[in-house]
Amino acid sequence: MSAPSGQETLPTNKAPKINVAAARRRQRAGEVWREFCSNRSGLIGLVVLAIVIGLALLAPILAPAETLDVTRITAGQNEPPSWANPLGTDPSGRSVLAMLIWGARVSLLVGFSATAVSMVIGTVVGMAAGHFTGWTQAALMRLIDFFLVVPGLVLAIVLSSIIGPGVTTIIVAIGITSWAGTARIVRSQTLTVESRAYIERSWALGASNAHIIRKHVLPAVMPLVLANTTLTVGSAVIAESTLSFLGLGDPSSISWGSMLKMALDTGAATGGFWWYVLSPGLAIVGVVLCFTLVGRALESVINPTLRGR
Amino acid sequence: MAFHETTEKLTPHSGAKGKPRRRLAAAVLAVSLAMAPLAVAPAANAATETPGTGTILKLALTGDIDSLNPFKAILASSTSILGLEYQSLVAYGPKNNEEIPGMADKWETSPDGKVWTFHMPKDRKWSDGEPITAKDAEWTFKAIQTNDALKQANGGLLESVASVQATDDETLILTLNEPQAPNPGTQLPIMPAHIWSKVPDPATFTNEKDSVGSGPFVISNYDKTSGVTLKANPNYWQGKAKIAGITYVPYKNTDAAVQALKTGEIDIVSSLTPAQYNALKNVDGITTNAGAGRRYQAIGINPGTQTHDGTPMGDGNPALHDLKVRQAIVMAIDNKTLLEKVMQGLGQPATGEVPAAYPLYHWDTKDLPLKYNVTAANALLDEAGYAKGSDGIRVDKQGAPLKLRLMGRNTDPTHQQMADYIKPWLKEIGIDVSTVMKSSAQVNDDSTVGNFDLYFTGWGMGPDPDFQLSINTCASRPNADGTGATSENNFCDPAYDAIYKAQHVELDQTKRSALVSQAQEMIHKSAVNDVMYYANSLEAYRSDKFAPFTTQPELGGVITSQNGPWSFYYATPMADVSSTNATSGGFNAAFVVVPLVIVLLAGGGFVLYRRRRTTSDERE
Repeated sequence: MSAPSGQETLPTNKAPKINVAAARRRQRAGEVWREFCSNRSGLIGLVVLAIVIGLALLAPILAPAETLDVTRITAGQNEPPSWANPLGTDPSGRSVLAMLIWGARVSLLVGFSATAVSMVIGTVVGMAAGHFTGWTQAALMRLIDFFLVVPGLVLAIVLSSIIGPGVTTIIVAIGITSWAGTARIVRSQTLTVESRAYIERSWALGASNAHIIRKHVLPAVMPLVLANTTLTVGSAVIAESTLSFLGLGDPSSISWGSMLKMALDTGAATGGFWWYVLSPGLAIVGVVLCFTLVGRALESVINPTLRGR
Repeated sequence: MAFHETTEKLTPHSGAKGKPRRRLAAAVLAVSLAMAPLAVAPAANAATETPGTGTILKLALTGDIDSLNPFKAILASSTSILGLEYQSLVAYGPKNNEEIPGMADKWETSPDGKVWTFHMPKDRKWSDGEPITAKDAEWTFKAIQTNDALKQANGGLLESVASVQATDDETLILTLNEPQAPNPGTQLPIMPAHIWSKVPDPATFTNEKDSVGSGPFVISNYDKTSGVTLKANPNYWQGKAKIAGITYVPYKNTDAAVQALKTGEIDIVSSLTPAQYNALKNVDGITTNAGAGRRYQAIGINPGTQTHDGTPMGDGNPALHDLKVRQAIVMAIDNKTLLEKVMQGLGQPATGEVPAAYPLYHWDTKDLPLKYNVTAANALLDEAGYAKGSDGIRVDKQGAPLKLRLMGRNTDPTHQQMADYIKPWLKEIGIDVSTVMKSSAQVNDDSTVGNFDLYFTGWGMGPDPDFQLSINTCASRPNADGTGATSENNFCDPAYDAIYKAQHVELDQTKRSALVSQAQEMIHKSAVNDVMYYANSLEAYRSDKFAPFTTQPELGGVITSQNGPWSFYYATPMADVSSTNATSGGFNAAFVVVPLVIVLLAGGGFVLYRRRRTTSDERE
């Protein structure tokens, strides 16, 4: 990161060898955490996200899979909210609350996995495009440009119909359509970092490409990637809902998007079954909002010029 | 929606006090996104009305129009529109789908059932005033027989016709290759020869503007955005209709069409979901109709698909070649519960292929051989040697767990709903099921070439069961590439073929009905096509604008998709419709304003949010 090299100011005591870099990272992480905590909306987002993730992990305990087995359900179809079913029931008589909790699993799983795919591709290509020059750079930049201008949704739909519907398909489709923006950001950061004096010194000392990228560029772009990741998860969740809504998801696993699709297909809006339409809709909005709040808070921690705005 | 975060190089805005605005932006975005699913914007503007006086009946068009050329049109929405414009020699009546005079007023069969003579009365006219003669019918038959390009829609109807001849303007003689019971004069629309013989290529003629027909309505215009406009034919032999015309207004989905019905923009909506149907039941000025459906809903079970010469094709699970496995699957599925839960009871329990709406050929039995019975199904599989593994899943003869794929259409919500039931039911008899929902075209392709284990299927049929039975004969199996004949579910049994043949030539109604029932029982026992229920056709109309429609059959029948033009031909507007139309019905501002506000809120929120998004290039 940014701190000046501390080699000369090492503690002079003879205590057992301390990993200085690790210690400094720990210290810096502490600072980041404190700064993050001072951002109230970011903290709220983080707490809500933790609760949602907790609920998703505990789904099998909170709502055992049998409660979603339509052949064993006694509740009526499309029942309004009641004490037994706080968010009402769906057209098969399943509890909407239980479906929401199970749906969080798929929505978050796809959100995180797709973002991981997108971040890995985006970071690697972005660093390469920033680090190398000449033909390599030109080719990589055109590749990035291509993915920037291709409409993500259309490409994802095409991919889904080629690979066949399913959760993996959606992860891949979102992952490879959403990395271009990250690559651009990472590239610009790479350019900035590589123009600094200490990189020049490294070159002078005979550092290889791999060394520069791994030891200097990657640590420098990581915080940015992290903040960007948090924001991308949000749009990946929306993308998952969109694709499931269009019928490209795995129909037998419940996600928030597939709940909305079922609501539309069975005429829940006409029937006035607001609980079945609003619940997944609000869940998507809430989770995406939380990811955005956390992402923005992280960003302002990493980039102090953003603070106070 | 874009997946990209294309935020690079956005310079941060300076100075503004950001926090309240950011919260506002987030809140606006959140609220508008939450409301978005509720906003159902009407998909189309009301179609332009035909000039002239009188009431126009407006229908929602939610299906696709493939073509309005009667030689080419296959999709139900197209053929039902063409059914208003073109008649066949013999029509199906509104009372009970009985055969009644259409273009021919009487007909007779030779004693051996091979020569059919139709009499066409004189003085009848096409909508442009030209006389209708037997020559028109002769031209239509011959055009299809001699030109392969015209066989697409109705070629199959003429396969049994050896020759056709108009001996004079009033007499048409059809000679068949072999005797047959079904009247060859039904179904084939007769076209005006004086128009179509002058068209350079009848196969590519669009027939979309000011077309000429003999039915109660003729198409005056069609385009994709404003829909199909028909006007009443003053020359229709039973007299001009009471309404001035019909407009089919396109809608993207039935929810949008239902909203339009509520505001009075359209008068009839069909293909409702049970939820929509129940929601419209108690609305003032709207009457709902659950007509006995002409379709069966079934699960096809792949018995080992073969081409017409017996070569195996497709990737169906070999365990399903075993009759006992198929029968156990049929017995493990509780059709009654599916009808009650998925269709909310809006349908009739099924026996064979022919729906209860056609009592003449419906297989009426209270005691199905393969009725729901899990214990018997398990016993059957135990006896056949499929032992249960430790996880409760049976193993097949090769020692692999019994796993089947269930395929459905992603356009039909009931398929996924039914799959949610069938999966646990089959688990109870030790069969593991995975579901996959595909596009309609993909399902058609996969099912034709046998790339499935189980799949949801269904056929709608006309009053005569001959075609439906014919697609279960060995000869109906396809070529290796899926082309050629169409088979219902690749059933092939020489004993069945004999029964099919027998009913095809049986001229005695009672005997023929018995044979048709027997044929359905054979298909049922072979467990290739588990017919689950006959769904009702769910429709709703503005009863404040129109008197109750004529249904077919008369009791408990359907309004739209009839075998004939009767419901629309007999449609009677309420006397005072035109005077109140302007105030009560028509345009409802809310349907434009609400989505607009939501879009503006979302857009505004997004802009505010994007302005906050910055990057941090200059960071050290």
